[in-house]
Amino acid sequence: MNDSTSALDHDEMARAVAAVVDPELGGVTIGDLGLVHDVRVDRDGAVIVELLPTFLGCPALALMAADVKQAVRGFGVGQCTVVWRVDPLWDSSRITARGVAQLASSGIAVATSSLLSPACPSCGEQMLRPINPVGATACRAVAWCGGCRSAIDIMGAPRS
Amino acid sequence: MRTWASEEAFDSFIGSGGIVEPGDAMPERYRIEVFRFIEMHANSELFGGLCERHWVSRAPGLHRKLAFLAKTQDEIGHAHLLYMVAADLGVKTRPEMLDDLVHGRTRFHNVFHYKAETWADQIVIAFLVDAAALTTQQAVLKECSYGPYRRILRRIVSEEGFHMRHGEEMLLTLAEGTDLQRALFQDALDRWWESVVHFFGPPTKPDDLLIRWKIKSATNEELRDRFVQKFVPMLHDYGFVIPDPGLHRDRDGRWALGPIDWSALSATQRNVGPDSQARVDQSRWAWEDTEWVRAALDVDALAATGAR
Repeated sequence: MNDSTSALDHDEMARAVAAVVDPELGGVTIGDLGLVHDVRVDRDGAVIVELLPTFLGCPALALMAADVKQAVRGFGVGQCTVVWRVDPLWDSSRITARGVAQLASSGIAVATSSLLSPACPSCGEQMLRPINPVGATACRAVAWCGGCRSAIDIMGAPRS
Repeated sequence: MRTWASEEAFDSFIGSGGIVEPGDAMPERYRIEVFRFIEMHANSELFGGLCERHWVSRAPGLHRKLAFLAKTQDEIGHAHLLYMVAADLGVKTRPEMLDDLVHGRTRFHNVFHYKAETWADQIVIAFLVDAAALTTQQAVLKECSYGPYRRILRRIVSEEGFHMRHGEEMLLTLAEGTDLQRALFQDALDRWWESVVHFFGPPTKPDDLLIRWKIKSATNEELRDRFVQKFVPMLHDYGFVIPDPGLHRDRDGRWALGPIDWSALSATQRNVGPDSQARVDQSRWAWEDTEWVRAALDVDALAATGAR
C-alpha cells in the first residue's frame, strides 16, 4: 500500500469486510463481534482476510467466508483468501459496545471477564442463573433470568 | 404484578399492544392457550432435532454433515429454551411435558408424522418445512403478546433463517444437478407437498383465542398464502412441478391452491399418521437411553426455574 488511493481502497475494503453480517445472529456484523483480525493485500494484488472463529467447530464458518469474499469482490481485486486463525484466540472482550447492545436486543448477554454474571439483556437485573454450558449454538451458554423469568443466552461464557 | 378486573379489560390491554409478563395475573384461559402453543412449538423443535440427527452420518460430505450437526444442536437448544418458558407458566412441569410427548399424549407438528426416506425428502424438510416454520414464527414474533416467548423467538427466527440458507443451498445442488438428482427432488416434492400445505393448519375459526389474544398475529390461511406466493414461483423457476392439479393464478395474478383434503392432517393431529408411532417410539427410546446423563447432571439448576 504505497500511494494514498490504494490506502483509501484498503480502508474501504476493510470496512466492507467488517460490515458482513453474521449469518446466525440477526444483524450483528462480524466486525462488531470482533472476528476480523486482519485485511491485507499482498504484492500480487490478492486479498487475505484473517478471521477469528468464536470456536473452531462453528457451522457458520463457510457461510461467513463466502459472504466476506462477496463483500471484497466489489473492489475489483484479485483472488481473496479467507484464513481462520486461532492465534490470538477470540474471546468475548473483542465484541464492541455496539455489538453488545445489538446482541442484548436479541436477548443475548455477553460474558464479562469478572466473576459476576452479566446483567440480563431483557430486564437489566443481575439475576442470571446458569443452566447449561452450551445452548442452540456452542458459542452460547443458556441461563435463566430470575428477574423477568426469561430464557437467556450468554455469548462467550468460559467453559471450565 | 398486574391484574385485570375482567376478561374484557384484559382483551383491551392486549388489543392496545400490551405485553403479558410471567408475574401478571393473566386470565387462566390465556395461560393455558399460551402454554399449549409454546409446548407444541417445543415438542416440534425437539422432534426436528431427533429427525435431523439421523442425517449427520448419512449426509454427503463433511460440509453437509457439519450443517446437520449444527441444525440438530440448534433445534435441541430451541426446545430447551421453549420448555423452560413453558414450564414457568405452571401448567405442566418439564418432565410432565416430555413424558406426555414420548408416550404420544401431546401434539407435535404434522410433518414429523411422516417418514423421511431419501436425501431429497430431507431437503424438502430443510427447505420447504423450515421456510413454512419461519413464515409462522415471523408472524408470531411480530405481535406476540407473551413477553418471554417473544424474546426467545427473536433468536429462534434468526437461526431458522440460517437453516434456510443451508436448505436452499442443498436444493440448488439438486436443482442444478443431473436428471437423477432432479427426479429425486421432484419425487420428494410429490410426496411431501400436501403435508407442507397442511403445516399451516386448517382454516382458523373466527373465535380463535390465539388470534384474539395475539399469541399469533395472522390466520392459518394468511400464513399459507404468504408461503404459496413466495415458494410456488420459486419452485417453478427451478423447473419443478407442484403436485396440485387445482393450482392456478386468480384474477389478480396471485397463486391459489386447489381444494385441500384435510384427512391426512386430522390423522396426524390424533397421532395416528403414517409414521407417528415410530417417531414417538424413537423419542421414548432416546429419552430412556439418556436417563444416565440426567442422573449424572446436577438438576438443582433446572429445579430453580420451576422446570423440575
